[in-house]
Amino acid sequence: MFNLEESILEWRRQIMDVGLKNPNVLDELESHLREEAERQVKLGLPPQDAFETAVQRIGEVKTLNHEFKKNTGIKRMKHSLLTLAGIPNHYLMNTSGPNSNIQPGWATYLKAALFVVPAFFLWGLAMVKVVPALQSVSAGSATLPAFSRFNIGIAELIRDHFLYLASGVIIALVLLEWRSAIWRRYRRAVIGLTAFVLNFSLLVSLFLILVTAALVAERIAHHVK
Amino acid sequence: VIQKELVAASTEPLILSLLSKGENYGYELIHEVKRLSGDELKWTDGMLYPVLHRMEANGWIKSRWVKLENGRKRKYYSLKKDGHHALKEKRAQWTVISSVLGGLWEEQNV
Repeated sequence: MFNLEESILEWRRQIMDVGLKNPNVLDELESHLREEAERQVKLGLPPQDAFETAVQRIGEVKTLNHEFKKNTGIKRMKHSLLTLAGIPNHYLMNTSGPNSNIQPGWATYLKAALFVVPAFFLWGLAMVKVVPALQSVSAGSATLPAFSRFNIGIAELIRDHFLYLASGVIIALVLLEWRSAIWRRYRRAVIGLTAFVLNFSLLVSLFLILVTAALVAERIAHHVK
Repeated sequence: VIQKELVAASTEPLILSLLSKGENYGYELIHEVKRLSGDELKWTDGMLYPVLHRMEANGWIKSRWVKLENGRKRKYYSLKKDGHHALKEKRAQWTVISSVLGGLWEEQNV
């Protein structure tokens, strides 16, 4: 005697065997299967034939699993790594034409912010801890080498006007999100490139501060001798 | 019956367009497409779901489970803001293709 519930359980087991294990996906497919089987019964098929027809219509489980896997795994990992490195790679996740560069806006901003945060944090720390110490032992910045005076000058300018700069950027982004239809398409590229350049500049500035600190330390050591 | 590649290419615009009319679930989406195309456009039922999930991951659509009176449940999908934008873009592209082909065929009929 045909038992629908048992057959459905068996069918779920078969799908899990090929590797499709997400219960959310299985529930959704089962819900579909039940609706189709029910419709076939209404059309006049006996329950077992109705169930088999519905299973057939859902299609080959291996192909289905393969389709679901397309969105996950290595591809997603590669995508994250490339994105973190600031390399545009929407083609990787693109499975259906040239439109997938519209990723949710928050994701672009979040990734850019995460990318810049470590360098920004270290740079901020250097600006608060290292630069004042350097200045106190070098008569302001007067006796520092030219490149550090230049670097520290710009860094201080940014630090002192940080609030204005940050609010300016945020207002510009809000306006772009709000008013511009084209922004959506170029958002990812622009934000990605900006994050990359910003990250690079912060690291260069940090490097110069450290070089200066090393030079000053050497000078003090020399002086003490 | 429409060939496989064309069916695949039109799946996302079809889903976006159907969902722009309101919330819907997989089974009904398939039947709606079958009905509207006069049975010319046939999806393998299961294949709709990976596409729906991908579109959800893209942030175009969102889903929620709804419990029915008979105790069963259905997963309903609806369009998000980015989905509306994606639809607009796809619509523009398909309109170009359709009008180019239409124009060419009209010329040839003259």
